[in-house]
Amino acid sequence: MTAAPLLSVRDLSVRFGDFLAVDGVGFDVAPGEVVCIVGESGSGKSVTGRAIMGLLDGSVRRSGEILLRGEALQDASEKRMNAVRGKEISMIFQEPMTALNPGMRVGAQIAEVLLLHFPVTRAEAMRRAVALLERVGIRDAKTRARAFPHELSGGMRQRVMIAIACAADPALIIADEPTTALDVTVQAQVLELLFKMQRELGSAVVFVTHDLGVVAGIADRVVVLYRGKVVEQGTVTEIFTRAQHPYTRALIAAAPDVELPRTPGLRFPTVDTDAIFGRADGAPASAPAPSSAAPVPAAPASLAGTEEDAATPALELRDLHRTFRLGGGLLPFGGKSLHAVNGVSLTIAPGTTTALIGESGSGKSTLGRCVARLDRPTSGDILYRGRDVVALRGDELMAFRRQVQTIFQDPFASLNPRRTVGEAVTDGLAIHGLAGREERHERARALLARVGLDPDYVSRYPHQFSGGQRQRIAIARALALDPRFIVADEAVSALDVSVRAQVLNLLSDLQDEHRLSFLFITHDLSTVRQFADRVAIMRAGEIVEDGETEAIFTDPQHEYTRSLLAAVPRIHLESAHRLRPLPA
Amino acid sequence: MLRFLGHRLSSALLTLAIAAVAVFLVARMIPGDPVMIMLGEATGGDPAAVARMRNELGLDRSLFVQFSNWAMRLLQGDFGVSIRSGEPVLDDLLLRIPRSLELIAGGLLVAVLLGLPLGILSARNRGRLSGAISSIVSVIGFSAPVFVSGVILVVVFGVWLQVLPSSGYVPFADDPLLHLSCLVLPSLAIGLNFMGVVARVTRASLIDTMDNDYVALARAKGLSRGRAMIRHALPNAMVPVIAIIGIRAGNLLGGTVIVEALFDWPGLSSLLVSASFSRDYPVIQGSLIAIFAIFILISLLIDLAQSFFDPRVRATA
Repeated sequence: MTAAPLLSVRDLSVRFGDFLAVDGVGFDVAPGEVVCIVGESGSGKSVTGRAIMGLLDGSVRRSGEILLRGEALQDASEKRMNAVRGKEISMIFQEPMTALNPGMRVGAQIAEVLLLHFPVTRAEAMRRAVALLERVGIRDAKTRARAFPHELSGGMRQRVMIAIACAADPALIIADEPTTALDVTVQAQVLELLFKMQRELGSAVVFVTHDLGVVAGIADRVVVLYRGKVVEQGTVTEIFTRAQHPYTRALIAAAPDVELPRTPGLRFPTVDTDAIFGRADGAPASAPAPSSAAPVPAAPASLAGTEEDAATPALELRDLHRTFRLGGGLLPFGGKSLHAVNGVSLTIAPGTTTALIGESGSGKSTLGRCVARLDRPTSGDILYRGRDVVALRGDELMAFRRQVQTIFQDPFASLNPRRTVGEAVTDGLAIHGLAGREERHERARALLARVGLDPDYVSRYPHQFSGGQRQRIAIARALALDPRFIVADEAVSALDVSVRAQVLNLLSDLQDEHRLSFLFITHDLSTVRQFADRVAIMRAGEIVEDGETEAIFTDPQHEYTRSLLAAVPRIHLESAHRLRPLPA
Repeated sequence: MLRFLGHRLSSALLTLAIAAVAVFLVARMIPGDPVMIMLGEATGGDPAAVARMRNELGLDRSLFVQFSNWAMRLLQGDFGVSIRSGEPVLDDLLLRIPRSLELIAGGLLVAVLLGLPLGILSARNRGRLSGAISSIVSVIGFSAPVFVSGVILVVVFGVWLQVLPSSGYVPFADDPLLHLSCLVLPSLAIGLNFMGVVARVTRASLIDTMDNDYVALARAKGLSRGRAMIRHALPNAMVPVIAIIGIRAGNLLGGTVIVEALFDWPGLSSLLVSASFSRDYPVIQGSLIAIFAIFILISLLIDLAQSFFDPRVRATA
């Protein structure tokens, strides 16, 4: 840190209208150094990255200094910035689906950078683009260069992004959550590639992320942000072993730890920002503590033959298949078929949680949809408390719909934007004719309190809530009908660690109180070890391994399970798979 | 690409075949009888003369026989002869199809050449005066129906300013310049409404597309705002614009009915209108088939344009 900094950010503030997104942020980046900017959603970490690039809208007000090798970029002309962008500082975006131009061949997208910043011919630029594709580990690069983004997998697209970012040999790469959207095994490969390229080019990296596990593997230094302010910064060792600020310590404690053995009854540590920072005025973030006394309507079990019976499994799947036909037009034959679920058998005991783990495309969501009867299996049996789910009709189907609820990943997509939260939460009560208007209103208030939200929020609309709050609304809605079985499909995956801990603790409480059974579908192994009783690992429509959670984590039998476990980032520096040496 | 083309062509032919059946039946469903209309005045409806003429025209046979005769000849390129004039229908069609195509092409040209820049301008200068003005122009464009904008154009350019002929048609071979100047006002009349639509959709689509990360990536590569928009946002923003053009191409064809009448333009629509009055079945059927063919051709071109801008369309063919 004695060398002159490559980048110096001083007193950076970014204001969107009345909202101060970044508030006096300052940090240095030395040449070749990897600085991680860590924070939860709304911390201003991504905005900081874009502000350095000068890529914010014209309506946004930015103040402070951004010095690149001493040059004041905040005062630079647009023409100078266009020369800096791509050449001196390049950027990697989060979503490989949306960050590449869908209408342009990937080779041309790489060549564009070279044509902009070097005096090369188109043919020469294309030749170098192919060479870059080879360097980022894309086989048959010459052919792939002519592919469009949709013809590549997510991991390959992110490799192309890295090729674009590295094309002009930049001094600094800003990577904004570059692996968040990827499966864990792909994330490991992409990180490895990014830091291989970084070593070869000697570039510095500003790595924006919420994932402390990733940070432990790559950072030289860490800058922790909260609501636009720097809470603490230091070397990765300082931050992980002797953090000064209570927020940093709480954040690290709350990060899911895949190495922590399962301890029944253990609560997920939460981050109590109100206690640490004092309550932000006007924003009752985590309003009343979830009270277990809040009334939840008691539902008489009217599904015949499904009385509580410890011997009968809550759910039993027998040789379940779900096949989709692809292409083939109108005719009922020809075309290919996709075996999304291919012969799955699984049993869930009442009052327990089974985690269904799989990467994207493994068929885990299709399986969940079949269980909730949102989709029909092609063949095989689904028995809910001993009853054939597919055969349910009329009143029995209604009873099933009350008892089995689903929580989806994206709470914004599953909440109607034109209906108040109170209406959304108690829709089920109205549909099942269980309560009048007045009573529904009261129940909605009680349910919001139950999931730790202010009861007065009932008259607000979904867009007025943060992602974490919306997910809690979705949970309140699932609870409204006093369900017995919940299918949670990536229900906490999009949440910040602090909120995720609250939601998981809430689900555990509910399970204890009401003997709920969970089918907990996720790609995230690290939260599962504490939360699930049993784990089933799914790949390409089949369950490759299932068993008691600890057995899976300590003694995985299948090679795929082992590779999944190995790819999960560790949050302890001692066990982290470091991609670069620890700084002295 | 070839597979895509083959797929679209075969479905176009199938559509045309279904259209032929529909056209035939619709023509027979129009109340009235061509023979009675023709002979009505001359003979006072003498039953023998009517029957004789029906027999000559084949109208006394069953619908099925009439249809298969017509369809068989159609397949050989024979559209039959006009009941009224006795002239081959095909000759008339070949004369008039290019004229209508000219109008449609002119209208499309107006819509695209004016609508696209207008839309781009109002997207780019959103929140500024120039953006607001271009938005207003496009709203006025698509609010005015063809018969209103047509009449205004005639009054302003043809009558007051007298810079353009207000109506009429001169064959290209006779006087190319006059031919083209006759084309200007009808093209504007057909295209102005469409221009408004194109401008609005372009604006909305472009604003939407500009929010994509790949446009931010283009800026992060070092492209200026303008070039990032033209090179990366615009081509992708064109996909819904082209879709709208495809959907609205039918309106364009419908617009020719009014415009051809308003500007005394001897195209396909005016042929169809006059044939309908005299229940001239072969001409009605022939011109409807021609209109269908034009519509299907436009759809085909739209599909091709769409696959050009969006490679994903090709994959789903």
